[in-house]
Amino acid sequence: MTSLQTAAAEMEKDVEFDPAAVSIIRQHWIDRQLKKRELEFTEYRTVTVFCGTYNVNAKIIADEEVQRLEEWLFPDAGELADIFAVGFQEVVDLNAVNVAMDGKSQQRAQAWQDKLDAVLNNKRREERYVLVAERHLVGILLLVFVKGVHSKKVREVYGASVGVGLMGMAGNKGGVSMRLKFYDSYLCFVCAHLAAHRENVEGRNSDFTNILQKTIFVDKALSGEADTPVTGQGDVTEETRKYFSEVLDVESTLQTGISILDHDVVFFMGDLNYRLDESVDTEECFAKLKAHDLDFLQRYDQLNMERIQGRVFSGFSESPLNFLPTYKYQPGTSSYERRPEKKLRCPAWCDRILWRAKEPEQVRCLSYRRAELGLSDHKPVAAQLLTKVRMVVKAQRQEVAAEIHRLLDKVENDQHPKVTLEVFDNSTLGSPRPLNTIDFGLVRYGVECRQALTITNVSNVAAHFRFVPKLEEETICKSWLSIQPRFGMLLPNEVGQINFKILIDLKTAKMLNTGRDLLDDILILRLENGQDFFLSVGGTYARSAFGMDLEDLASCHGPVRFLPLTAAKWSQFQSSTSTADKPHLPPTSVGGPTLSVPKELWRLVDALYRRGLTEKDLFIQPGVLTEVEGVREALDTGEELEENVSVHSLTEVLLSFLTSLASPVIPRNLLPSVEIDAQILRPWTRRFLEQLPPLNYNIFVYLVSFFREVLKYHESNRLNTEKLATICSKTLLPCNELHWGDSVEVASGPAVGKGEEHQRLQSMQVIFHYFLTTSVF
Amino acid sequence: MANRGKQAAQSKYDHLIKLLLIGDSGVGKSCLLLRYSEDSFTPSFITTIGIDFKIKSLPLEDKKLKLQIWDTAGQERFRTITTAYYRGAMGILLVYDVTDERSFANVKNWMRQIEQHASESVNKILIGNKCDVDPADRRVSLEQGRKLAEEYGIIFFETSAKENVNVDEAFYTVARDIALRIDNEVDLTASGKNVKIGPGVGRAGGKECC
Repeated sequence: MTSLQTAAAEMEKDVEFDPAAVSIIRQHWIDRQLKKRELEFTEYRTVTVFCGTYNVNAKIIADEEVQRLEEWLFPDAGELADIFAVGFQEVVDLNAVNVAMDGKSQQRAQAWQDKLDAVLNNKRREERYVLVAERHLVGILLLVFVKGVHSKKVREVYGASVGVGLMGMAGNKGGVSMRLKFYDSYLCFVCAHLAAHRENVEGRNSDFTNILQKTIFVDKALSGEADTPVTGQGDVTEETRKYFSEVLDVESTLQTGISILDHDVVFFMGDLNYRLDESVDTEECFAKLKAHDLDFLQRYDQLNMERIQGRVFSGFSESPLNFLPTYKYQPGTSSYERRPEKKLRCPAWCDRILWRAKEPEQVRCLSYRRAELGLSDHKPVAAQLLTKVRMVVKAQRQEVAAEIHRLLDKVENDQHPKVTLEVFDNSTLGSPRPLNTIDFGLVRYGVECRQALTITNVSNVAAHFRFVPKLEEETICKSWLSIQPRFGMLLPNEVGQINFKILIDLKTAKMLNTGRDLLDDILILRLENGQDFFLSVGGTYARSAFGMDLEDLASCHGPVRFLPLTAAKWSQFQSSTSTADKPHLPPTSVGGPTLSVPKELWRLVDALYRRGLTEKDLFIQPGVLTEVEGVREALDTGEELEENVSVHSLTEVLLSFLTSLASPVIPRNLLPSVEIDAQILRPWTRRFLEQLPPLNYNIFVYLVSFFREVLKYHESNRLNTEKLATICSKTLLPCNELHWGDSVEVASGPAVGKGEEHQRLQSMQVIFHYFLTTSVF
Repeated sequence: MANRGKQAAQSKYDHLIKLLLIGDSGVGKSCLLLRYSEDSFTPSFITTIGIDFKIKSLPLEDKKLKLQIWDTAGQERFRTITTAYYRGAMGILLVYDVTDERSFANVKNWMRQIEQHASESVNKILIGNKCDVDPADRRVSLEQGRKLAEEYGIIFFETSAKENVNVDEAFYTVARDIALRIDNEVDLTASGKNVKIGPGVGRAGGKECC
């Protein structure tokens, strides 16, 4: 390979059409269309989501007291929540051992899970809840339960944990998250424990930011099912896969990150540790609490202030804090911690629940409150949130998808060329018929018939058309038909014409005359990358004596035209006439044995005998075309020959009749194989006559006798022996491809060269001369 | 070279499935195709004078199928010509008209044509079209159709292109079976997966075994 070739090959590789790429882009387009029309197949269902958060200060509720959790979990008498997302903080002491080792956390997580499970599935209530997943990180625990009826609608559950505590990564502070597909909405629950200490607002803000940034859902272990890739894998090259990685693979999307904010709704709960602004004195706070001036205190809530400043929880919502601060209590009591031995802390709303919805109107907070459990130095907080979740109605989605596909299919189908065909019907003077039949009507021997078809490209693409052969055939049509053009191209709206011509010549006449072929064919007109048209082409063949076998002609009593046409009928006809009773044909006009000649021959010779012997330039001057056709027609139909028809037309028909015969009057095997000189002339011609088959003999004798008669009038018709011998050579000998074709096949011995054939014809000229000038027979 | 690669990729990525509609003239082959591909119907009879195809994409859950559906002329005189198109077909939908006994009687001739000219593994489905007609005009019962399909061991649907009954189901069933067959042929280790029959009224219990 030269470097140039290599370069060319490289280039071909680069520009190569990649069907996989097309398919991926197409799928991507379909997905986007579906997304746009989402409303058409999406219904919304309102569900109640319970979010709870409780810093339990490493305590665990005793089994006998577990029912007390109901106050927190089931605040309202109304409908029970569909989802319970319950977050805990400090399920274990946040000591170094627990931060490093999971054992204790695991144990406590399990304990809380069992207790919650017991409360949620209390036999007093009919509803059953099932755990979707549990996730914990040191002291932080998140449990998500759903009502049993929804369990099948929970999919794609992933969890993630992020530590933002010591060294910015330990799990003493941080967040655990869980995401899931609920019906067709993506929900995310986050339970967080942010940095402590009243002054450390920035620390909490950055903990929040870190949790958002670092939480990436990749863990599939939580999910029961493996995700199926969006697109088929198939034969996609590595390059293509790489190029389209973001749409091709859910997995890679997961790796680059589904993060918290990618969800339809995010529920964020936990001990966020925001306090009252330091400008509020602790005693003042207690005073305001006593006066129940929560409005005042809310204004100084650090989280509210930071949110107003846009420094944290951007896009999140929270209901007003219409409950007392939840921290810090004297455990087991409903009193804030004011014992002298303890550090005095300003009460604060550490425990909070916020949410963020892509479409804000889809979440409404029903209640936001605290419960009065005395287990911990925090009080638990709960929010009931009415949330609209999407439900894709499968049947409707399929209908939309089907519409989109139909549109695409239409575009694709319109890429195929389309043409209309119109046949011009001669009989109705050029009015087009949208049919696929080309009817030539009555077709006569030797008379050219034409039909045309217009082809119009009615598509938006170039149309390439061509006629193709039928299965297992080699030619596009039968030999009596010719098509012009056989192929072509049309631009959109371009109109073309295809011409069809039927000419029955001696090559095709025999099969048609004997009913072995019919003027009937089906053509296949192929549009590349489109339709195949079947065109029926045909007509009624006017059977003619021209192009028939002498034997067949001699066995016909009546006009050839009216013989039965099918092959079967023809053979019946032959067998019934080839018996003893040979048809009675007109007597010959010359002496000798009374033998039959075809009546067509007799009629022509008879007419010439009566009217033409003295005609000047007899056999030399051509006839008139219309008269020639008329004479042929009269011969075939048995009608009288018109009296005023020119003699030259008669001679032309006679000569063409002889040359059209399916086999020549003088068979090829009787041609001389040696040079004929004066010595052997006589014996050779005698043997020649003996060898001629009876019918051929009759015709030969009949014609030579007639020509001898003609020669008697040579002064007026200006013929001579030479001219007539030439005419004999041209009409009685094998004179067309068909004749030669037949005989070359059966020729025995060495192949006969063209020069040799010429030699034989020359010899025949001598022989004809002899017959014309002597009086044998 | 580039061409060959192109085709391989095409056939693997989107399954291209060639289907052929056959049956007597006037049973509604073109109408079924029109209903399936464009979801429309025309009551006027325009005889098909050749062979034409439509592309129809059929996204299944796990793969994308692209159907190339060939509609043939049903007229007797074109019969020998149309058999030339059997060879490339992966599935053949043989349609008769429930109001026309002759078209039903001819099913056996069509089956013979399939045997002679189609590939051996071709998936077949028998469809009795025009099931929306007044029961008084019906000449072939649901049971007769079902029984014949059972004899041949092929799937059966009665459809109505006019009222859009079972049209999607019929095409879907045969296309999906072909996709499964091709998958199985590719993955020779997969032992004869059992094929679930999709929804649809009047399907035959008999299932072609491959």
